[in-house]
Amino acid sequence: MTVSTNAEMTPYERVAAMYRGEPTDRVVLGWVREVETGIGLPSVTVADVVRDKSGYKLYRGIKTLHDRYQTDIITVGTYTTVEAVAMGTKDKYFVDQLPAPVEYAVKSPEDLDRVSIPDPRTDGDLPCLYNCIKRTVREFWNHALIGCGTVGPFSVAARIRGLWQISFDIMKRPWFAHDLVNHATEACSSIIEGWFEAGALGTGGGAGSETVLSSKHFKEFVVPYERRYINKAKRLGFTSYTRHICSGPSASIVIDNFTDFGLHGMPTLVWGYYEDAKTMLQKKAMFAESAPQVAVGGVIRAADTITFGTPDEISREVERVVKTCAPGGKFVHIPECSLPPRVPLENLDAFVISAKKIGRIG
Amino acid sequence: MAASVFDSIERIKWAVMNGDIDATSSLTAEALERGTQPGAVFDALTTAVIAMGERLSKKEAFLPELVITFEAFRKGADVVRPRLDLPREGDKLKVVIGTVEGDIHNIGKNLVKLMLEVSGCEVYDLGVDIPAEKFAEKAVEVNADVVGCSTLISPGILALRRTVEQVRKLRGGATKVFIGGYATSPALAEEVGAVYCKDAYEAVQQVRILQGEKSR
Repeated sequence: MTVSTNAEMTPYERVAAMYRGEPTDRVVLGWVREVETGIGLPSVTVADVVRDKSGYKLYRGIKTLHDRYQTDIITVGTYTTVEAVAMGTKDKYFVDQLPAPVEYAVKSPEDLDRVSIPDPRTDGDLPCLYNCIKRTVREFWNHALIGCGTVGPFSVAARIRGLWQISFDIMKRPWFAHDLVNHATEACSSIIEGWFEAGALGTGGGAGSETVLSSKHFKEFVVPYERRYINKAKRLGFTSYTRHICSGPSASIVIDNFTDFGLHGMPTLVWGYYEDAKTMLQKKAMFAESAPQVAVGGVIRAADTITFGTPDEISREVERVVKTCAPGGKFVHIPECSLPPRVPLENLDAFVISAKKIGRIG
Repeated sequence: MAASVFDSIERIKWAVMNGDIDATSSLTAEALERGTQPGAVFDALTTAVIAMGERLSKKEAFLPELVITFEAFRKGADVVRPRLDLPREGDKLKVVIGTVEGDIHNIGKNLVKLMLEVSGCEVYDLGVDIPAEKFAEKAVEVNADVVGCSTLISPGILALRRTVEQVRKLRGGATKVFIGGYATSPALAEEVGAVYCKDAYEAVQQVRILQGEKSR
């Protein structure tokens, strides 16, 4: 395996070597995201964390987990509707769970004119992220690559309009669907400008909404806008991009069209849903043919294996995936999706610590 | 005459499959005016929806194509429904459906609801964010054959487990539980003793098996 060197590397050296496909002292550890629940902060609810505009509680959650696991990458994030809520979508909170949209900002085409481009410093729950990035960068800039992104243009459009309704628009008034995604692209670009200003070095995109589209619609309503968004990220000076592949009927379409996003020259992690470790390995080889610095990660199911498996089961699964995919680098150890609130700590331990142990095997 | 009835039925199916909402509405009205049996017209509408569900299951179609098919079906169904003879009570499979507590995702649940309705089930849609007790109480109230519960998000699995337990507690084996949604899996279904439906089309297939058992 090429995942071993004798000398201990810094997280920056490890991540850079991994993207280049060079040996690393251990496998690169992606972020562990359970922070929005205020893990380690007794009596703090999800709502307390994500509505705290100072970002302090979110930062405390990140600190708790980073002190425990020392991951190589930290991603500051809360919930996947945060951009749309800042644009007028109304959400609902549940006990100990993440908020979800209950009323969309764009009920009819005329409403789009009234939806403003959000300012991440002031609008909705975005200041929580903006201020948390600042706090996290202050403390961990030398310990991990710190990033923050959005769910990306199409998924933001789906969250201000509703997935059913934007699907209808795509078929019956495609001009309006384009206006929606165009507006969402502007919003995402404005938001990551704030993240860069706050100190994030990495950014990203991708969520579940675009995995319900055919290849034809994906190429028409996702690819051009995501290219624009990524170009903006490059111009701002972000050093890496993480693209999430959420599970859905057309997750493979996202992967197979990935090279159309124009990520050349930007180290990129394509993480999330792959059918299995073997498929992820095949995709790693496919990406390498067209873009030299694309890594993969994921497969291990957050909602299933990590939440309900035993620590032993998780360790075995981690070993299988890491041993299959880590040789040759370009691999980050990360769950296939965000971890649900309240995953047992012993399961998180098994997920992270067993990977660290495997990585040290020469 | 037979050929013209056949034509109008096929045109209705074509309109629904292609999501042509206006054409579905006018072709449905036209077929009824020409004397086509309302039951045959309704069958054409439902056949098209189920065929689209099958295409979705095979990844030959995706959500946008399905959405306009459903919208077309609704328009056509609005036209034909007042002319339909309602089936006798007790002939239909009774299904209580909802999204579990803590989850408000409803697209999958609504697809299943519509697909089951067009497959001849009596569907009681409880909505979203439904506590376990409410599923079980409704199952008792309507003497449900099936409780269908879904969740897209992983935290919903805990609520889903509670729902299966509650339904079992109040209904024993009299009500089967179907589970579905991204956060569920065949392994989870096996563990909790439920029927796993990977999509709306599979829910229809499972219901057909039950309908067959019930009619024997």
